[in-house]
Parts: sequence; C-alpha cells; structure tokens
Amino acid sequence: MSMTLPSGVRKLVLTVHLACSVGWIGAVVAYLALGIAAVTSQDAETVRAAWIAMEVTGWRAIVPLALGALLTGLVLALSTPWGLFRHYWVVISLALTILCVVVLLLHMPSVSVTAALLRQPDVVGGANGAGHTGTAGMGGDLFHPTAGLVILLVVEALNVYKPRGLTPYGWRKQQEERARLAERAAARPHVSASAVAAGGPQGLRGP
Amino acid sequence: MVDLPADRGSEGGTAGVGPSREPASGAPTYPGAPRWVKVFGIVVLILALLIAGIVLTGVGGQHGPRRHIPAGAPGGPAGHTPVAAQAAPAA
Repeated sequence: MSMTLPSGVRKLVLTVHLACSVGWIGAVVAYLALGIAAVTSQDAETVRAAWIAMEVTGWRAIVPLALGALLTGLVLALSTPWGLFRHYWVVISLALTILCVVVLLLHMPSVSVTAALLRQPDVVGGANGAGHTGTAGMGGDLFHPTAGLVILLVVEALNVYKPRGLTPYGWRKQQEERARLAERAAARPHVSASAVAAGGPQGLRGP
Repeated sequence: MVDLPADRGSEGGTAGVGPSREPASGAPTYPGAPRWVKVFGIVVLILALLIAGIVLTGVGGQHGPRRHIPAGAPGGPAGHTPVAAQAAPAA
C-alpha cells in the first residue's frame, strides 16, 4: 500500500512529525524530572504536586504527542519511497514506536490512580505520614520513562542515520522495479543502458 | 524520515553480506539481513528476556495499576495490607 502526497503536504506532515517526535522526547524528559522529584522529595506537597503534574503531563502532552508521531510517521512512510516494510530501519522504528505507545497507554491509568489518591485530602503526611496514608509509600515511576526515553532516542538515531538494509519484501520490490525499468528501457531504445544499470526506479531516487 | 532514499541501485551490496548472489539460473537471491540488524535483534532479545525475568520473578516489585498505591490505602494492594491493618476490627 502506498500513496503519493504533494510535496507541500508531505513537508507539512514531516514538520508535524518532527514536532511531535521531538516534543514527545521533551515531554518524557519533563515527566522524568517530575518522577525524580516524587521519589527524592521529603515534602508531602512536592510529592503530591509532582504526581498530579505527571498525570497531566502524561495525558495532555505525552499521549497526544506519541499518537501524533505514530500517525504522521505512518503517513510519511506510506507516502514516500521508503515504504513501511521495505527498510529495516523503518520497520524497527515502527515496532519500537508502537511498543512505546502501547506501554504508555497501559501505564498511564496507574499514574491516574496514584494522582487521584493523592488528591484526596486525607492523604497527607509526607515521608513519615504518621497516622495517615503517607505519600512516601507511593514509590517511584522512573523505570517506564527512562526505558521509554532510551527507546525514543534509539528511534531518533535510526531516523537520522537511516542505516542501509532492505527487508526481504523491500528487496523483492526493488527487483520488480528494476525488472520493470529494464523492460521499459528495452521497449524504448533511446533510454541508455547505463541509466538502467545505474539506478533503480525514479521513485527510489533522492530529491 | 527527512530524506528520501538515495539511489539504491547497489542496495543488494549494502545489505551486509555482499552483493546479491546469482545462482546458475541467473535469478538473484536475497542477500540476507545486514549485520547491524542481527546485532540489534540479539540485544533486543536479551533485554526482553531480562525484563521478562524481572517481571516474572517479582524482583522488580509489583507491576500494574496498583503499584504506586501504598498498602492499606483505599484501592491499595489487598495482598500487601500491613499486619496491623489486618488485625484492626472491621467497622
């Protein structure tokens, strides 16, 4: 499945994709900073505020940015010669992004539960919390954002370096394109043989 | 995903295992996955097994929506209710 977008539209989608992807990483860093505050602070109000801010950051920033990055990434892959399953770096980026989105959507409800609990007026007391449910028992939420951040940085690196390597599907498509081009060249003798030998189809050339 | 793919006319030769092998029939065969993909896959597999082991053995603590709720708190993990709370008479 592939579609062709006008250049202007493709650049707009690319702009949104970059904004969502980089914004996702930034939002995760902010979430991680709040998570560290929630774990290390001895002040009950700081812990409470951190967890509530983590919930807001998660649902209002990280989740929309993650979904936006995934959606625009799919559109870009399907609307350019890169394709979705032709190159290993695209396939791996897609798989890691989907993994991050799924874990994020499964994890955020637990953050909401914790934030809702901390909004209750009887949940006070700070680190000791004598006589009350202390915020110190909330534990931390550092593993998920840290692991997510590492994965997102790996995806970013893959998108920047674009290491070569065709999947079996991509390789088969490339062979089909080459065969088609060779047939066209054979049908039109004025197309030089060197042009056929040198490159794949026009669609696989850089701008 | 900024640049479009460059000329991939030699892609078969960049897949990590040299140019496409052409058997006697003349039809080229898939050269195989590049080395970086294999290394990446091994690393991911090791990490996945590590995480699965941590989760299954419980070394990393409880996992799930109630992870952050202290024992004894409303909605907290019932299995971890403190002894003192268990001994308290029911209202």
